[in-house]
Amino acid sequence: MNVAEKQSELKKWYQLNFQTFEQSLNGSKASPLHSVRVKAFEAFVKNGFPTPRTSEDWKYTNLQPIVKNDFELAAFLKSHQVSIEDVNKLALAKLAGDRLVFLDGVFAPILSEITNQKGLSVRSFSDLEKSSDKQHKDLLSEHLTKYVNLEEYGVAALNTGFVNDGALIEIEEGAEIEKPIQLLFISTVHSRPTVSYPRVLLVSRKDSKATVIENYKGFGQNTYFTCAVTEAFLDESADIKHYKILEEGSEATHYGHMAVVQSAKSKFSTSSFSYSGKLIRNEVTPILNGEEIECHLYGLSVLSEEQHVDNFTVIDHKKPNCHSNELYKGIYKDKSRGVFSGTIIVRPDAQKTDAIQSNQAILLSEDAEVDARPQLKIWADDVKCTHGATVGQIDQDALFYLRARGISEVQAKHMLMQAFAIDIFQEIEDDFLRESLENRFLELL
Amino acid sequence: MSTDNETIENFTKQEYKWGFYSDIDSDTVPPGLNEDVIRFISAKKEEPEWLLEWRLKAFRKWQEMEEPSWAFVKYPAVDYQDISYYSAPKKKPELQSLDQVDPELLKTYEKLGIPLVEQKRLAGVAVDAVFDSVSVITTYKEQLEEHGIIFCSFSEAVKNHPELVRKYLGSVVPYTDNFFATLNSAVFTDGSFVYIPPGVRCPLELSTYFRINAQNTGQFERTLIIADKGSYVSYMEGCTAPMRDENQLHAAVVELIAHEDAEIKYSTIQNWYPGDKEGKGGIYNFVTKRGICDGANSKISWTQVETGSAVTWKYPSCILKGENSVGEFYSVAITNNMQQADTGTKMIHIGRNTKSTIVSKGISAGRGQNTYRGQVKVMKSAENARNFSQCDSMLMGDKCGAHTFPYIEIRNPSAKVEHEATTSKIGEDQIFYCNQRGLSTEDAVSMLVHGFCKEIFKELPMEFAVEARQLLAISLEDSVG
Amino acid sequence: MMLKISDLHVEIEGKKILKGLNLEIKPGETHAIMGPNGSGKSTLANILAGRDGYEVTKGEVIFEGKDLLDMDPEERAREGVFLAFQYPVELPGVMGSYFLRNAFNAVREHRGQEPMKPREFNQLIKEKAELLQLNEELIKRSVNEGFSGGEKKRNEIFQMAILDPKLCVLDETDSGLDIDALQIVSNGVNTLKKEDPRKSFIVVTHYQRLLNYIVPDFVHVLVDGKIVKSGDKDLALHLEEQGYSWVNDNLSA
Repeated sequence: MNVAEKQSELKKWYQLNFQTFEQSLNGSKASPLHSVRVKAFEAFVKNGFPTPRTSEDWKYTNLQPIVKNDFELAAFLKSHQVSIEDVNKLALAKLAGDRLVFLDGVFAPILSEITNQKGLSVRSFSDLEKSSDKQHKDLLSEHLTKYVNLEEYGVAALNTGFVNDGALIEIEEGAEIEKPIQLLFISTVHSRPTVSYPRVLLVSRKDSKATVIENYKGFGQNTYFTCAVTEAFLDESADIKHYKILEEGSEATHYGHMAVVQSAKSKFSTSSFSYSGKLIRNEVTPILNGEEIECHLYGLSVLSEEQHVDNFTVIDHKKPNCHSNELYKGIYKDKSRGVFSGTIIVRPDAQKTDAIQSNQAILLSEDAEVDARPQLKIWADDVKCTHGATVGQIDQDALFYLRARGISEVQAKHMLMQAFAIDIFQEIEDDFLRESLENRFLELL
Repeated sequence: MSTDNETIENFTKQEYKWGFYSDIDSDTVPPGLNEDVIRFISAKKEEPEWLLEWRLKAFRKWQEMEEPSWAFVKYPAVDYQDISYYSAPKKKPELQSLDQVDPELLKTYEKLGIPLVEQKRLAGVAVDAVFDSVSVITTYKEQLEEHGIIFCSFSEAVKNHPELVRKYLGSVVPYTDNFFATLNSAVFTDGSFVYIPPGVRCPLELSTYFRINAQNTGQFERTLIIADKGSYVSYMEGCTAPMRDENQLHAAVVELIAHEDAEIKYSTIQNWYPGDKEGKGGIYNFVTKRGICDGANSKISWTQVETGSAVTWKYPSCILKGENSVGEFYSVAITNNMQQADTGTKMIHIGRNTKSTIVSKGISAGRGQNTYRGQVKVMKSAENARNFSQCDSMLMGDKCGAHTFPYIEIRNPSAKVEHEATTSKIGEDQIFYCNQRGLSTEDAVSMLVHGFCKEIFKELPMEFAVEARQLLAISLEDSVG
Repeated sequence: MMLKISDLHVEIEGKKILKGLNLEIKPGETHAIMGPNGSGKSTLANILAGRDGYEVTKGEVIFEGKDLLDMDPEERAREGVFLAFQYPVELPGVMGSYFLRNAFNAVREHRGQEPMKPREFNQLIKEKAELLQLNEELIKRSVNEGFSGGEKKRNEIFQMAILDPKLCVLDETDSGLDIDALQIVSNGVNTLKKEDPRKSFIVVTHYQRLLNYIVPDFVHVLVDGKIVKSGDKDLALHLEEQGYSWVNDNLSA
C-alpha cells in the first residue's frame, strides 16, 4: 500500500468511527456543537494525517504508529475500574484545589473534587449538557473552536470532530484562584487499541489569575492514542500559569495541541514535562493579540528506549511591545529521538517585539537522535529576536572535575543533568509541584 | 609595437580557436526543450557519446520532476519551453567609445572604482581596452601551465581532459539532484574547469574574470574544480560590475572536489540584475553549489556576497566525508526593493572530527525578503563533529522581512552543535552619533552595514573585498530615508 | 560672538521643555550649565547637535553668524559643533580608526581641504593620544562596543581632539565616572583648551564635582527650561552646598 492509499484507508476508518460516534449521539445531533464537529471532521478528512512528505511541520515526526492501528473510540468500550486510590497515586494528590478526572476522555464525577473556589467555575462538558446552566452552555458554544486553527492543524481538527466531553474552566474578572486546578486524564487499559479525545477550554477574564495543570497518565502497555486539544483565552491583564505533565503508557501516542490567544497586558506561561509515552507531539501556538503581553514556553523531555518527542511551537507576535521567551531542553537516552520545531513570527505591526528562543539537547547514547528547527519570520524592523540551539553531550571536563573530587560517575552525571534542567524547574512556583516533578525527573535519569 | 599587434591578432584568433563558436555563429535553436535540442547542443559541442547519454538521462529525469516550492520566495512561473537553450554567444554591439555606453552603467562603474580600461572592457567597447587583459591572460596561462594546473572552459576540458571530466562530473551533484541541477545537467552549455595536481599550491587567485571566453555562458553554467592531494586553490566567481543580462533564468551547477589535505576556497560576488524598484525584470538565480571534502584533512570554504538577482535560491554546501575535514560558509545577502533571497548552506558531517562553520549575514531593505535556510547534519559515523552557526539579520525599514530556517539533525552523541541567530536594525541613535561626527547618513549606513558584514568580508580575497564593500553601498542606495 | 541662543522654546511630543532660554558664548569661554533632573539640560545639548524628536517652537540659535537650527546634524558637526554624548553609542563592527578618519576627512572636505592620507592620519592619532595620555588601542576596536563607561567617555574626548571643533558640548560627561577616569577626561579637556584658546565649551552637569577639574568662566542654573541664575564658578559651589532648592527658594523669595 502506498502512502496515498494508506491515507485514504485511514480516512475511511475514521469516517466509520465518526458515523458510529454520530449514531451514539442520538438527539444531540441537532445541537450547534454537532455542526462544529461535522465541520471540523471535514477539515480533517480533507487533509488526512500529515506526513513528512506533505507537511514541513511534520518533517521529523511520522504518525506511522497511529496510521497502522485501527483505534476504537475508548469511550465506547467498558473502561477498567479505576479506584480513588489509583487516582490519588496518579494525581499530584497533595495539591489542594479542584481536581477533574477524566477516564479515556470521559468525566468521572466520583473521582473528581470540586471545591468551589471563589471566582472559578469548573465544569465538565457532559455535566454541563445535563444541567440547566445556560450561562456556561453559552460560554462553551461561544468559545469552543474559536481559538484553534483547524485548517492549519489537521490533527486538532480530528479531536474537534469527536469532541464530546472535556473541561470548561472560567475564571471571573479580577479573581485570583489560589489553589491550582488539576485536570487528570487517565487512559485505562483495553485489550484493543483505543483512542480518546480530551478537550479543555479555559476562559480567563480581565485581571484574573490561576494555575492550571494538565496531567496525562497511562497505566499499562496497551496501545492507545490520546488526541487532546486545549484552547485558552486570556482577556486583558489575565495571568495564567499552565503545566502539562505527560506520563503516558509505554505504547501510547500522545498528540496535544494548545491554542492560546492572549489580550493586552496578559501573562501566559506553560511548561511541559515529557516523561513517558512512545510518541509525543506537543503543539503550542500562542497568538499575542495585544500590546505588552508576556508569553513563556518551557519544555523538558527525558526520553529513553525508542521514545520520540516533538515539541512544536509557533509564537505569533501581532502587536507591538510584547515579550516572548521560549526554553526547551531535552535529555535523550537509548534510541530515543527529540525534535524541536519553534517558529517566532513578528508581524509588520509588532514593533518593539522582544522574542527569545532557546533549545538545548543532551545526547546520552550512540543511538539517540536530535532534530531542531528554530525559525524566525520577521516583518518588523525594530525588534529584538534571537534564537539559539545547542546539541551536545555532558561536559566531560565538568564530569571529570566532579569525579576528581570523589563523586561517583553516576552521581556526577546526575548532578550535571540536574543542573542542566534547573532553569525549567526554577519556573515552578509551587514547591510541592516542583519537587514532585524534579523527583520524577531524577528517577528517569 | 609589432609585438603588441601580434598579441591582439593572437587574441582574436584564439577566441575562435578556443570556442566552438566560429562555425555556429548563426545558430540559435528556437525556444523549447526536447531530446532533439539536447542532441543538437551536444553535437554542436562535439561531445563524446557518454556525455550526450548523461545529458539525456538528466533530461528524462527532469521531465518527471516538479519545480520546488518550499523556498520562501514568490515569482511568476517560468515557462521552460519558452527559453532558447542554445544560442551562439551573444555578440554585444561593438561600441566605439565610452560615450556610447549607458551613462547609468558608467556611473555604477565609477562608484565601484573600476579603472577606465576595465570599464571599456565590461561595457563591450572594442579592441584597445581589451589589449591589457589579453597580455595578462597569456602570462597567467603560461604560469599556470608550468605548475601543471588545468584551467580552461568546460568545453575545452571535455575535449582535452575527458577522463577527468568523466570521472568527476556529477560526482558531487548527481544529475538527479534537484529540479534546477537536473535541468542544468541536460542543457549546460559551458563553464569553467579547474584541476590542481597533487601538492601544487595555485599561485594565483583563479577567476572567470581572467578567462575571456567565459562570457555569455552564464545561463546554464557548469563549474568543476578538483583539488588533488595536498593542493590549494582559491577561485573567484562573479561579474565585477552589474552586467545587465536579460536572461530571466540562471541555473548553474558548481561541483568541488577536495582530496586528502587539499583546500578549495570559493568566493562569489553575485551581482546580476535585480530588476527595477517595482520588481520588473531581474534574474532568477537558482544555483546548486556543492563540494565534497573527500579526503582526510581537506577543506572547502564558500564565501559569497549576494547583492543582485530578483530571486536567489542558492545553498553552497559541503559534504564532509574525510576525517578532520573542514567546511565553511560565509555569506552576505542583501535584498532591497523587491528582491527575494532564500540562501544558506548544508553541512553534512560524515567523517570523524569534521568541523563546520556557518556565518550568515542577511540584510533586508525596501520590500526585500531575505531568508537563511541551512542544514547541519551529523551522521552516526561522524564522531566528534563540531558545528558553529551564526545567522544575523539586519532590517532596514518596516516593509522588508528577515527569516531564518535552520535544520539541525544530530545522529551522534559526541557532536557539538551550536546555532545562534539575532535580528537587529540600524538604530537612529547610531546614525545620529555618526552625523554628529560629521558623517552623512548615507556614509553612516554604509559604515554600519559594513561593520555588520565584517566577518564575511575578511574571508574574501583582497581583490573582491574592496569591490564587495562598494557593491554593498550601491545596493543599499535609497534604502534609508 | 560664537554662539547666540535667543528666546529658545523647545517641546518634546507637545511637552514644553525649554521655555525661553538665552545664552551667549564668546570664543574661548567655558560655560557650565547646571540644573536639577528634568530641567532641560540635556535637551539643550541635543538641540545644539540637532537630534531628532525635538520641536523648536520659538527662538533661534546662531552659530558663527549662521542659523544652526537650519542645518543637518552632520553639517553642524562639520561647522565645528561637537557633542560629547552622555551615552556614547555602540557601533558594532565599525573600527574606531576607520570611523574617525572618515569623520575627520568629512570635516576637512567641508573646510575645502584635501583628505588626509592614512599615514599622516595615523601620525595625528599618535600625537593626540600622547597629548591626552590616552591609550590609542581604543580606536583599534569597534566604536564604543564593549567599552566600559570610562572608556566610552575617554573615547569621546579623543574624538573631540581629532575632529578639532570650535564649540564642544559636554553632556553629563561626569556621569558614571570614578575619580580617576574623571581626572583623565578633565585633563584631556584642559589640554585641548590650552592648545587652542579659542575653543569654547559648554559643560552640562548635575554636580559641581566636574567643575573642580574643568573650571568654568560662567555658571548658569537651568530650572524648568529657563536660566534662572548666572554667575562665576562660585555659584557652582553655592549650589553644591545649598542644593537646587536654594535657587528655587531664592526665586520665589
